[in-house]
Amino acid sequence: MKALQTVLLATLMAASISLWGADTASADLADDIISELRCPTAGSSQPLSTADSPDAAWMRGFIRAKVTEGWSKQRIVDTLVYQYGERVMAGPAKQGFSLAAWLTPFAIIFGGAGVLGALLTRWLSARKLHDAYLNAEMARGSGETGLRRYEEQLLRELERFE
Amino acid sequence: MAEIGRISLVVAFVVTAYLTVASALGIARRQADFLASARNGVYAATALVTLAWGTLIYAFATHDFSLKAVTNYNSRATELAYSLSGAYASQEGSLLMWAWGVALMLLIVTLQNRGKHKSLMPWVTAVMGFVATFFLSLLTFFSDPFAKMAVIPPDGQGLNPLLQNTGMLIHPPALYLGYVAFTVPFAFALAALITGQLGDEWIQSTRRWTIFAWAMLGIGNILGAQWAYVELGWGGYWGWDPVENSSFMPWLTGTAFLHSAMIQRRRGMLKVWNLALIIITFTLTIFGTFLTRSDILSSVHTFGDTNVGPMFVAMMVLILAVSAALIWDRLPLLGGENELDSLVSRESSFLLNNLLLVGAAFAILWGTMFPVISEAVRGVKVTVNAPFFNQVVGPILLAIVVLMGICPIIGWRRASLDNLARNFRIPLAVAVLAGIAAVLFNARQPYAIIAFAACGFVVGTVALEFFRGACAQGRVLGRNPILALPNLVWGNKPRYGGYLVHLGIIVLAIGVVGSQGFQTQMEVTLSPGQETTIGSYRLVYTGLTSSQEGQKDVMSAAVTVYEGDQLIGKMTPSKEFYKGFDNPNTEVSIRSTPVEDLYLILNSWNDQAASFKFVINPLISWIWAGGYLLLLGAVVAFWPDARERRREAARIAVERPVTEALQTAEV
Repeated sequence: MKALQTVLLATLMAASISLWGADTASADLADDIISELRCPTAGSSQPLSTADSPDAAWMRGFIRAKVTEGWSKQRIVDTLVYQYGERVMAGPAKQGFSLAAWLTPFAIIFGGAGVLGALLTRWLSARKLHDAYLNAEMARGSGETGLRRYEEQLLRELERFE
Repeated sequence: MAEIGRISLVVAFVVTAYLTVASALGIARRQADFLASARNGVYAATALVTLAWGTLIYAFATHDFSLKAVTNYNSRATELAYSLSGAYASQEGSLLMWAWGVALMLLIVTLQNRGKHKSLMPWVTAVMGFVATFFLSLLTFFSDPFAKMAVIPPDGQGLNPLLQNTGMLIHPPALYLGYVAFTVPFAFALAALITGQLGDEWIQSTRRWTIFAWAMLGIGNILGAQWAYVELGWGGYWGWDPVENSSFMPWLTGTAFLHSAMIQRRRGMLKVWNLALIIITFTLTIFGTFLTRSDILSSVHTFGDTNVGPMFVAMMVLILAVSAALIWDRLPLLGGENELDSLVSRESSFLLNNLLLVGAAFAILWGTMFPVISEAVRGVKVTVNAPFFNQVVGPILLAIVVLMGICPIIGWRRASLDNLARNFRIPLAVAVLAGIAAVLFNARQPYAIIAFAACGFVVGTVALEFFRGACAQGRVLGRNPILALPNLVWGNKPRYGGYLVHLGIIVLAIGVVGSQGFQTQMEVTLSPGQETTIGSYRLVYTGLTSSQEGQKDVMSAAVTVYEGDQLIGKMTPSKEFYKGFDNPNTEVSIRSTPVEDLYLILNSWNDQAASFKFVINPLISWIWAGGYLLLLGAVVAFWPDARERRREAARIAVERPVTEALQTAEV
């Protein structure tokens, strides 16, 4: 029931949290940084890892050198962004307005799940009321609802027939 | 010759505009001769658009350089197959292909439904006619495929070498067929809204159209990925490019629609949701073609300078406004069928499936449009590339995979938790085994292990369904369960076709996780005779050779490949230089096995020293295999099924007189 949905959403949350900043293929920090940046040459839309320009080659070299010197990922990225601007980042920054880029889809899904849960619970309790009403009507033998009851019974039997 | 094409295009525009109005008037005023005239209009319009399309193709085949399109996308040296595909390489030509697709679908729908659905069909015709008119109006007034050159050149520029690949012969037509085919369920949905016939009629008549559209869109996407892998030469297959995204989104919402339509057919629930979903899916198809033809986002796919962008925006706004108004107006007729029995039921798991699929589509839309949003709000254009989509959409898709394992086990209406737990045991065991296997094969990141375990879970579920069904069928037929399998599948094609599709998706997912998570690459410069190792391969570079083949100069590097001590063979990555095109074409060399692909790229050279990029893509063939399985499953699900027909006929026979009686009673 609700437990099932909770379990699924928990899986989704756990997966998304574990993925935060962790889409690396290689354990190499330099490759990790390179995969998150783009070619700095104006007008280029290529990822840094495959770009051919001298600027891109320099940037790759810079990243590898600084990683060897022991710089942290954040420091390297910040330096490059300071030098070239946000356009070298292959994705929006995880701060400020750009954080909305990351959070909105999950907010929509979790919000939607909440709405769905509320709707389903309301439908179920309405259904219980409806069934109680129908039973009362059936006991009185009312025409229209009696017809509906036969329809429902027929459909149920058809399904059981599969 | 081109004049015939242009004239038939313009006349087709007039005819489709006429048939749209005639059809609507005919049903609104109950005048049969207008309806008959509209039907004739369908035949005429289809013939005319086919003539226009045929003329364009003929112009390409005969290298008629008096047309701009032919000059830009064809040359005397272009082979016939690529001459023909040049017809849809240009923006105008592809628009004409779309218009032709809509006309063709309208014709088929008209022929299919002669004498059936008498109250819905005229509106279906009107809506599809309107869509066709829209595209034909663009072709008539803004984007003429038959535009002439001021001076006829002796030869054309030729087709971009990137497009001269067999994948390109099928990928665009498949994708367009998918896009266009979604017009049919959309038209039926609007017709149902307009006529107030909001029962199962519209959704039942479009089940197979939806499967067809969904399958074509799926295959189109996979073929596109395969083309990128083989032709673009960067070692990957999906870049989350805006245009790739825009063909993925309607596929996701289309998948949601396929599932929630099942709920409406069985339980009469979710009428408003289904209408909204197909309208959103259709709007996304228009959005897709809008992105390709406008300038708002840059992409390898965009057609560059076109002026039709605003028209598409207007069309989308119109569709959404009219649909919303109709749904709002018909809301009283759409409520009331509350058939939910329990929160633990297939119905609620389908609802979760819908939430996740639409959520994934939203995430992709949001990421694709965020650069525009950010610029509007902050004045700073940020880029949103693959890392964003992998991190945001990845987990959502993973959750969908997990759900794919759960849904088939939960029964309709009400499932007991005990039953569920019992049914989970075997699939969970398979999941654990899959996770362990992944670790044994050097998977270390939690994401990859969870993903493989999830895939194992779904395989366990599907296998269990087939096993149980085969045993039951075997008992009925008095046969071995394995021999009973064909009967099982053929006896309930929608269901088992669906399971095959699920299996295909899982195979594809395994390929994606393997190739995304475990790719190895190296960049190295070698002199002749030097060797290097990557993975279990030893690569010996022996030298460069230059040659000429037809219209291209080729520089290829010879690399001998050993696996351990065994000689595998010679691979020749190369670069091709086509006359008239500045950038060389990278022809990669790929050796595929079910386990992994060895992918060699020649980057550059200096004298005889060559710079390479070597890549190992584990499990990537599973992606293409999954695609074929998906197609097979779709074909099975699509195939006419006598049992399904009987069941639906019984349901409609019961429903219609009751609905009509109730409606008269209410009035």
